[in-house]
Amino acid sequence: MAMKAPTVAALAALATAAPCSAQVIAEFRAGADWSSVLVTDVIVEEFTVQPAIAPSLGLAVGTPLGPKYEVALDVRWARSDLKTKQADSSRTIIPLTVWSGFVVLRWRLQQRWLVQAGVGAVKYDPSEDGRESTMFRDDQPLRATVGLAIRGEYPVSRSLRVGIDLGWSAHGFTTQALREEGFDTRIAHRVSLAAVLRWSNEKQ
Amino acid sequence: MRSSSVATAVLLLAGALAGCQEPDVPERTQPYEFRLSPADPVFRWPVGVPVRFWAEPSGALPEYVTTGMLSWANQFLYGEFYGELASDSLSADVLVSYQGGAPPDAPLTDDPPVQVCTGVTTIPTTQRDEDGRLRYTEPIRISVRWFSADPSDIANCLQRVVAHEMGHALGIFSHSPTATDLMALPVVVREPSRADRSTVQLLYHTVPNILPYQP
Repeated sequence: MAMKAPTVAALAALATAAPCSAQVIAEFRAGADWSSVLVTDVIVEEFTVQPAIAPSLGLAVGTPLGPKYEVALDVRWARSDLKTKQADSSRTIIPLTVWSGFVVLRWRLQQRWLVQAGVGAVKYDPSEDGRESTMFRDDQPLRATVGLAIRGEYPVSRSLRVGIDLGWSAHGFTTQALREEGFDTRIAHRVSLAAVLRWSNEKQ
Repeated sequence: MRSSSVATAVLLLAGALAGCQEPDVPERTQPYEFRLSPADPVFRWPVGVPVRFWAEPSGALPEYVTTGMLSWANQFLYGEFYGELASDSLSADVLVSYQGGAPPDAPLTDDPPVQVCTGVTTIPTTQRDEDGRLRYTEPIRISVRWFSADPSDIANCLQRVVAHEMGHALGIFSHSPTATDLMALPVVVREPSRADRSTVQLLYHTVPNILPYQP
């Protein structure tokens, strides 16, 4: 039920895009994002800080560059709790939204397989409540990111496909508060698994 | 060719994940003892729940308390402590008041510190609850008083002393031996130092033996 509104919005976007004479690809995605550990620290005992697996939504709009290639603008949203884990216990620090945007180049390997490489930016957007006692107290970092993904697709109709997308991205993670404490930038990895609904008016 | 491209992409993904590095944890300033004696039980507020401070609505006291809450919250990275100003003293965890009324209004300045005020934090007695745990029997109380002097010197002093006393209310019951720490006596700085930070971080990663008062 929670997916209903975004799905309707995506379908509305597709319907709006349909009259365009240019070749257009529009996609809606829903899935889950996993993030690697953002911080490892030792105060009395060692602990790590890591976002929980986050439900994610995304929209992308693109255009073909030829029979095998296409370019797209891909925007994603994911929200979960930032957690600290120590031995066998876990605690929520703050709810955390992660926005990411990519310019992606896709390459169709076969009729049903796509690979994609992208560059873009990732933005950490923590909740306001209690933020002053977290690593995000002085800034909500915006970082450059790179990503790769592979997708399997299944044609539903001439213009509609559904697919499963497995992606990875990486960026340098730090905040001003972490730097002040003496931490270095750490490479954060994100892995996403999503179902994709893809509409296009390409001539097939 | 096509299946090998797919395999290459998967291998790239796996390789990138395998490359996760383990960065060094930074060296921190040596903390000082936060208990009056190392054998004493430990008190700190439960992590992840805001501590409610009530400030007597008189003069600039609510501003000093708000500044103190923020100063202490800023010493943490992982949400261990943060405070909020309570409008009702009955629902507060810490009560902050003047002894003898508010001083004349004056702006804070960067003038050298002058000791024209004092503060006292009253830590309540404990009793064992139903589960046999030590628990405070009432809220922690902070009281500050000032002496006749230049109004800005009084304001500066009260801001420093309120922040210092709030450090006691957080569970740092001892004083720092280093004069430039907020938890030293006399109080000559406005903000927690690196050593204050290490100490309060250590405290909030130590298992407490005393629970706060529960109204």
